[in-house]
Amino acid sequence: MQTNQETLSIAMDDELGSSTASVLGRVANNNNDTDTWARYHLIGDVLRDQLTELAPPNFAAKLSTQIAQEPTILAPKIRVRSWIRPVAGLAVAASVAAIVVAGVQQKFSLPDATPTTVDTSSVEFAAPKLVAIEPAGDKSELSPAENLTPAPHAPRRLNGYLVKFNEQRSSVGVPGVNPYVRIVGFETE
Amino acid sequence: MSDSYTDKELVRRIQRGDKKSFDLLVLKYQNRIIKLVSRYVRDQSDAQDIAQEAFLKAYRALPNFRGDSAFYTWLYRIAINTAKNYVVSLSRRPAEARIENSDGDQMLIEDMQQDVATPENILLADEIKRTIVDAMDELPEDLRVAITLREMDGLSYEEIAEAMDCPIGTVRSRIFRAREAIDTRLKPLLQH
Repeated sequence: MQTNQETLSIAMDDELGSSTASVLGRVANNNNDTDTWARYHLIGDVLRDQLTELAPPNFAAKLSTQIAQEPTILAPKIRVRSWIRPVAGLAVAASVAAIVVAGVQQKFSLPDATPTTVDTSSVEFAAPKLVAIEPAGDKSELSPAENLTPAPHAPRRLNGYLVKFNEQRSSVGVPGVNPYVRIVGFETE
Repeated sequence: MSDSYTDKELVRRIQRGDKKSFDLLVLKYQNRIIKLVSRYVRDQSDAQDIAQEAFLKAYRALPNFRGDSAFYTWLYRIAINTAKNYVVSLSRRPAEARIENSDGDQMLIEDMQQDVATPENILLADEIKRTIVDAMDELPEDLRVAITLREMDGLSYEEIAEAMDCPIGTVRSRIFRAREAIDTRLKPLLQH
């Protein structure tokens, strides 16, 4: 069975564990225990050679009187709720990401890419007309651009290239030219 | 200085409005703080005033103390700063208060007057030290070793139990009995 003095001795050595709080409460409110507390600490001070001058007997009492005139401390417990930190972190990350996206968009947008409204009320739309296409028999009727005659080996190379290119792009799932256009190559003898 | 669980608990109590718990911290650290401050001021009365001011400042600042460092480390810093401020304010005192001593050193009249007096508690401190040392010499060896390992070497009860090859319960009892025996000799000196 431990006496009050013994529990005090254990508490001041930080060896009492969860009972420390209640023992300290008792010591603080009992003059005999408070005196014992002071003497036990004085013994420790002397053994550690930490005593050059003894505090006057009224040192703590004088201070206690001054403290009694001070406003009582009531420091609220600061506890951050466990879910606030991750949510706050996520909010900060989302804000930063939004700012970065907005910044990047602004930087890489074309100067005249701003959509403009066009008045189409005066424009007349007509249904497309079907036009019969006749085989180009007479080359002299072609426009100058169409009239250009490629080098003799060019069509073969171009046809081959287009077919291979489209096949290769389609094999990796990326449309080469337009996905709805079938590329057919042909060679003229 | 280790982060004392007892100190943390006392601080927690003070922060909840229990002023009496601050008395326990004062009683625990008063001699150490006075010794610390005495390095900066040679006058004992000034050292006590500075120590008192340091404790008062610590009390006022306790709502902001978050326990990031040990309480004593925090108090130590407050005491050092209070002592340094005092020394600075001393150097700004008017020149009329200074005279030169025989060696040509300047000193304050006030300091001279206080140096002449022999403080009663310096004698008392010497007597207390002698009494405690004598009481230690008279302790049985197992008690003396236990309290020495605790107070002088700062070992935990578990470490002492290992060093002395005995159960922790025995260590608790030996340390308490040693304190009790010394206290029996000490108590009459402080009752006046």
